[in-house]
Amino acid sequence: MVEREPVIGIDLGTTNSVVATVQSGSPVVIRGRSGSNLLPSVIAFSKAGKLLVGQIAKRQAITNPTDTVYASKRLIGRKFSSAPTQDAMKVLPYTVVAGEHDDIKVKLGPTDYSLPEVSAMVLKELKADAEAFFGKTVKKAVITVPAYFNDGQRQATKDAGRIAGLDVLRIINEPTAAALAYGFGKAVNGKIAVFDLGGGTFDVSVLEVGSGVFDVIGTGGDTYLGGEDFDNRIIEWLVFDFVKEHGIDLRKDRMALQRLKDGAEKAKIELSNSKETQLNLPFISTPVGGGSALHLQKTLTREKLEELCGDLGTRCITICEQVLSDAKVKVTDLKEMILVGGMTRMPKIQELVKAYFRRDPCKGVHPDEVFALGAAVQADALTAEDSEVVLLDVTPQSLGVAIAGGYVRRLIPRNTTVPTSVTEVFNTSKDAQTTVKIMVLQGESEVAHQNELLGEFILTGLRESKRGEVEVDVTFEINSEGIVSVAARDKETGQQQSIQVTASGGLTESELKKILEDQADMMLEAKTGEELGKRKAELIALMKEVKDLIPQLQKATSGSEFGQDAVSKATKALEVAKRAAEGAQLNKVTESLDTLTKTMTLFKGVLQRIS
Amino acid sequence: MSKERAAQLIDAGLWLKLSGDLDGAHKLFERALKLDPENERAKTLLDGSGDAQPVVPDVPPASQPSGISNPFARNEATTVPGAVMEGDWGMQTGFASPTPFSPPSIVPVAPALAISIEPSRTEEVVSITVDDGDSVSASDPNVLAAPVIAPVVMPTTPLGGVTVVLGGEGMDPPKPIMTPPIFVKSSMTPVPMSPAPRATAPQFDERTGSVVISGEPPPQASPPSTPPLYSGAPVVDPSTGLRPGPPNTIRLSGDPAPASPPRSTPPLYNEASPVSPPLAQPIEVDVELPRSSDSAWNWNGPHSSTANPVMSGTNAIQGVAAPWPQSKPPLASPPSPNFSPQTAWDAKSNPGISLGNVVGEGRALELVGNLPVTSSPSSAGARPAAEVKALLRGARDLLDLDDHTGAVELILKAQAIAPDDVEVQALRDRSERTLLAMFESKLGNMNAVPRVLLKDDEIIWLNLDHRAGFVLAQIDGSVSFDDVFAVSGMSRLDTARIIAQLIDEGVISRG
Repeated sequence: MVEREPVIGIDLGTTNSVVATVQSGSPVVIRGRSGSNLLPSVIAFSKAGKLLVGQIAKRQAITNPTDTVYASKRLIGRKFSSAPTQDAMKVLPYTVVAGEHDDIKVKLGPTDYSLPEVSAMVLKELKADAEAFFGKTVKKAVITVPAYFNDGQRQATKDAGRIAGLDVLRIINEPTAAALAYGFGKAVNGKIAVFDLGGGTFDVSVLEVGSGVFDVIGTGGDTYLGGEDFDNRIIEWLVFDFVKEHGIDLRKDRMALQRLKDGAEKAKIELSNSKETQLNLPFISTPVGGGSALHLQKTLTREKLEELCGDLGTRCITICEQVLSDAKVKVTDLKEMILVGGMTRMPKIQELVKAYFRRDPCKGVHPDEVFALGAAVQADALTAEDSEVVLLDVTPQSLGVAIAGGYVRRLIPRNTTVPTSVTEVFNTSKDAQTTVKIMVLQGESEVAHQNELLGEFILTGLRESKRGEVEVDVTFEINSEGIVSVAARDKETGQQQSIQVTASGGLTESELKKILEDQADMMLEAKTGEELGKRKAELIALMKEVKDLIPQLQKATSGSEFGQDAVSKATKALEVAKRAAEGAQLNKVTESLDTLTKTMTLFKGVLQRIS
Repeated sequence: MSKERAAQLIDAGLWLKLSGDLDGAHKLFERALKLDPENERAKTLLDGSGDAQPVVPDVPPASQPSGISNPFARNEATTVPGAVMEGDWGMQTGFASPTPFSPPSIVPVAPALAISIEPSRTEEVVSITVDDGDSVSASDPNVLAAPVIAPVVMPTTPLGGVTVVLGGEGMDPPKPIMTPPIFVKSSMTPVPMSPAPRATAPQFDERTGSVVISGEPPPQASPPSTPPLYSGAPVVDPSTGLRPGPPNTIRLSGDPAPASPPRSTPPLYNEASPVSPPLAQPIEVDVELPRSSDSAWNWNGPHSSTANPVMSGTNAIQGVAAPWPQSKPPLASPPSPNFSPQTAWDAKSNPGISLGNVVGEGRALELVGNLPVTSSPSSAGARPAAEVKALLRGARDLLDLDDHTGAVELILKAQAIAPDDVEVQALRDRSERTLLAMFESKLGNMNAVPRVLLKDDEIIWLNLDHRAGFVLAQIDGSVSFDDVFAVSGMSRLDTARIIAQLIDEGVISRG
């Protein structure tokens, strides 16, 4: 029986990422090589130019802010000019620059990297962890994204996977992954709430699960609310007390701030399991005028933490109310409630959620591993030959056209199985209107400008007539590759215009190809470098052996002509080998290796015969 | 030859000492003594160098277990007659340059001992351990009136509420009569050091609710109008108003005017400074050894209308307001106008005087002693060049002795004077490379994962700065040396130095 190719599920998070797989029918998280299940979604270039990914990059994020990229998920697939990008740039310490086609790039050292490239670095690390786990190459993966991600963001995530050397089988919604992780869809049918309070973002979604279909019927959140805000409250508390005591604002010292951040996060995590914790940061600051370094030692109680962060929990509940209200779902309609994200381990959050939803949350899966496990279930189902689950590609968001008054007419609602095709008839909205502008939009808002504009075109040559008299057929078609075609046809004249929209993650196909080629060159270089190093080491060892044999040969041949000639040739060969060992040309090193190997064989032969 | 080498080592050591590298200085003095066991200078320096005090009072750790001897307590240093005291220069000016041919010694400056007691706790016993081990109660009026003779060196530990100031005046005590620890049944928080108070009777300030008690001078000594900042200060000659000083001593005296900075501020100032008026009394310079008059110190600006008189050679000049030659730049930059005795000390805005600010064209070097610097007023650029040369020579000497740390110190000083000097840069690169290799060799395998060998409550008693604290915090049993280099945010050399130090001191393992 042929062994199955390993497949993985990846939760590519804003703050942390997780990789999982299915083993013996059960989803399991793959522990990283560092020993942790979570990989911080942070990359950095150290001062020495070394690429750092994960925990190490996170630990120097404050001391090396300009060359550290985190929360790239907030930017991936977005336009540089978009409002969310401009908002994010106000708080991000690293440099964000515009790409050639309004895409986003981040500056790291002398190079500008696209967001898919940055995310690819995290994905590569996860891939390497998985390969270390399986002991073989891993190529196929399912990646989760927030339910509100549009086609561009999903495509950018796919591109990141491709750059990382992964074949992304599917991009699935995070709440869907959460439901899959708990095995819903089989045993549980009905409405489910997913409360996801992660490191940097808060999302709440309502799913309608039935007959294996996972329909996200409502989603909302705050992209700037998460565990970091809780950490910051602790930091503020510590800093305030330290200023009072010593007159030193620790936030002004990056080293101190980094330690405060690490300490605050650790304390927060500990307080999920204990009532109080010690914050012990010795030698945190040296007074400006000199003197002994000061220590920061504080006891933080759970009660104090809850007092410091009370409003943050309340904000989460307010957002839940809003989302449920928008989805027209009552709390009593919900069958289950899933907690996702490390912050939901906090007892106060659990208490608030339980009070609001009036039910105990689902248990059994670690909240920060839920999405990855769900993605692994999905990946397994996609590759298993005997899978009972039939998974269909669906449109993540609705597609439509802009209509008079600045509204949207939806032609293809979200979660429609692809391939699909829909045609609708539209009329002119003004008297003597001879042209119509077809604006293809994606999104759930009723207002046109709040949706993503995928493309537009103008159909001209319409007959001059009173408004509403001219009819135009508009056809939307999505093929199995996810490519959207939109056509408009004047019913009377048969005149037609069309447009084809391919989701773009910001990178063009040629750019993507170039990145992949460059990457292949770099890998080749690295491989060559490795080979060169290996050969050089061999050469140096051989040189030493030959050198050591020369006196023996001289003695054995007693100054004979043959002996002198052999030694002279060997000395010359050694000189050439020395130059080769100092250089960086693999062929020269290989040549010298060959020559010295022959010399060595000759010497040994002569010595054997004489002795 | 060995004597010459010893002298060179002492010179280099003095530079290190000036820069605050007391360990390095100590090492060099020891080496000098090895080469020349009779070298008195080395002996004296060895006695004094290890006892040097930080220029700003230490702040005790945030938590300090009671019952354990205070590791922050300073050692007392013996007074060496004829030496310029660090206190002469003011506590916050940084290390003073030693006088030529005079073994420098750092003596603890007698700070005002500030103890504040909450009003509601005035009846609480404040135990003060006096030299014979007796305990006295602060609530006892006899105690309050008792003379307190400095040097008293202790972590300043005022408490909120009523302030009791025990004035400590250094009057050449044979040994300190008051030593820490002081046990107070109240919470303790540090306060900035205040200037030494005059000897006055206890006074109660109704406005602030504080009792101010100044220690009276011992009966056998005539109380000076201004308490000297160092022990062993000679008595003022009432006829001249001057204090006779031992040979080769440059002493700064004079009562500060009411608005002038406290005695602990740098005596070097530019009178243009709004808050630093000229010294009320003349500056005495008593130099017996021949010295070029143009190398005499001055601390007035070139345009001073009330320039301080300066003694040149053995000729005392005083009270003469002579315009200072235009060609003479001030020895040091003026003290920061931000400073005033009433405000808390802010070292950032009042950094004191560093060697980098001394623009005395080689005069700073002269103060070190034997370093041969030719001082010529006509050769403006010659002195920095000579300084650089001397520093580089010292650095090379240290490199020959494999003291790369000390060498780098000197090279950095040279580079501050001549930032574009190729030779200096080359020497720096070489030394740093060697140093880095040395430190890295101590670390061993860069992929090894170091571990902390001490417990948390042991760590807080180490003598580390915040940078070492940061590096130590990264070592958690999961990161390799290589990772520590990546996350430290410092140069590889600095990081390697800190890690090597932590290994040497047994704080962390090699992996």
